Amino acid sequence: MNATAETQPQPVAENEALVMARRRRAQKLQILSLFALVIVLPLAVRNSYYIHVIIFIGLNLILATGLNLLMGYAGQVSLGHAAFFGIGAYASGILTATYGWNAWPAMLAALVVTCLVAWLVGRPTLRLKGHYLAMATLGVGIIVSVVLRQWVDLTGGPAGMKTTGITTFGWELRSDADVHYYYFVWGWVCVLTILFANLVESRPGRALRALHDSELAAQILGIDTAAFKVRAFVISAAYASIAGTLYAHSSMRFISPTPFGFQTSIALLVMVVLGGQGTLWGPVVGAVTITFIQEFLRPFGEWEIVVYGLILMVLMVVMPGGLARGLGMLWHWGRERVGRLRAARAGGGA
Amino acid sequence: MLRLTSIDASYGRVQALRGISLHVGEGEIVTLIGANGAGKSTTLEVISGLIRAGSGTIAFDDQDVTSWRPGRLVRAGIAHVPEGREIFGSLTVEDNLMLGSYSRPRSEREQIASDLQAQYERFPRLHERRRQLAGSLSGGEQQMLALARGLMSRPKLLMLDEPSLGLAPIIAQQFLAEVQKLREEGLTVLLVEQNARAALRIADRGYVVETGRIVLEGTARDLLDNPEVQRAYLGRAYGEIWE
Repeated sequence: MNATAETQPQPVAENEALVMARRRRAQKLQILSLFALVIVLPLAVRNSYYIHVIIFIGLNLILATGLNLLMGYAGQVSLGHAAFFGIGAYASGILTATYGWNAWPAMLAALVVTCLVAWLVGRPTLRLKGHYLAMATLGVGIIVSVVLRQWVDLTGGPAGMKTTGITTFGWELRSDADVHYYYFVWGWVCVLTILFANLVESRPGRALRALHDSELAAQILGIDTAAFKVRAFVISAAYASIAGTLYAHSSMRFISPTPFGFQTSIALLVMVVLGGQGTLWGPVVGAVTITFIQEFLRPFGEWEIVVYGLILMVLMVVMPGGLARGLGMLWHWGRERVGRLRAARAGGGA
Repeated sequence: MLRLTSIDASYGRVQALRGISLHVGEGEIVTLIGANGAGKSTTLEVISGLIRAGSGTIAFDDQDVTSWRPGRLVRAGIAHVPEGREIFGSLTVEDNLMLGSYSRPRSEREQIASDLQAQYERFPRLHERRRQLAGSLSGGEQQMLALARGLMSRPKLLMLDEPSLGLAPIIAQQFLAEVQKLREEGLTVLLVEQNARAALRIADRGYVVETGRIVLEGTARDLLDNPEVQRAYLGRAYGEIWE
């Protein structure tokens, strides 16, 4: 702690303060521009196939955002997140189609069932150190997938089942107007993204990030780390359940066990890692990229999983922080370069 | 203020503590010295509720706190600054400090804000860097942050685990001087150190821990003069290097 060390770092600290404030403001702006884009997009994209793809991006985004809370903030991995997606879809699908419920209470019931399952799985496993949750969720994924296929009376088995639309105060989302459904899904995306952004910046969010950095220190300060991890897990399952309900009542009016299998769980994992864990925009980048890849790879069937593996491998080497961070860094680097070039030119001119 | 009576503790099948008994009086600086793996850190972890004692009792402020969980112990006034600092590297310095007050009720919000200012006055360097990520601080600054974070819970008893580990000798000395200042302000300190000489210099009393047992106890002066301690922990020949 000599004189040079005392005087030198000060400008750095000043800079950091500005950077942080600017980043908060930028984040708000980014979310607002996402809303704007969502509102205008259907005016530009008239093709109903693309609208359909964008709806899927929205559903994947909800799923990935939930998983991001678990992976990027609580530091845990779920290998069976598609199961919660499936429970959400089938619970509300069965309640509406078989028992004639309205879709809204069915959504709520599905949410309760999913959270309960997540809590029952998370509570015992998250008390243990290490990746026991990953193992347990892998099991849940398999069990749910088997139940959906085998309990034919209830779920219709591998052939799937018909579902109904969503009716709000007598007003039904029609199956022939994808744009309505588009706005409905993306409305949910916006609400859930804002919720996520607020949660992460709140006091519990801070505690969650703290336990990701040092579980020991978090415990010492009186943070109940196991309870926080369980909560993060239940919330991430709740996000999946909502996405499931939205999927069940989509304009297809049909669900089958296929989208709720292991393949989807892995795809979600790749979305989060690809986009960048622990960032607000990671899931967005991941969901957009992976949904498009899925669409392009549709003709190749099972090669999908090979491509995921390759993406993960390349990414770990090239951009271990994920695309959102990597692109951000690239952007800053480019701006600095341009700035330096301009300065050099100005200097040369004078 | 703090009294441990024949505490046993184990990690799975490995027994780490065998009948540890010690006490810390109000306003004292007490140090635990001993080799790596002797059970010093484990003792602190048992006190702060991270590890359950297999048998024995812990009393704090005339209350039996043996089975209390960490959060309740923090509220009762025990702060633990862990080995290796364990700061939250991806959060800002200020977030780290605010997390130090996590267990305090929201009604104390104003009190917490003024405590935050007090920490900034104590460590101006942390104030300069309050919006920086804690992971970007130097080792000495991180140790300051870990200490300040511990103080944000308004403890009566401060437990420090190897605070001088990995610090340049001069920084370590400044840190221990800070600890002495805290004691003058009325804090009680339980200090675990491998640098036994530095620890005994500022301590009132000390315990020597070996393989989970306390093998020697006494005033800091007596321990410094004890030939056995000098041979095993003060390494007379190395003594000059530490100065």
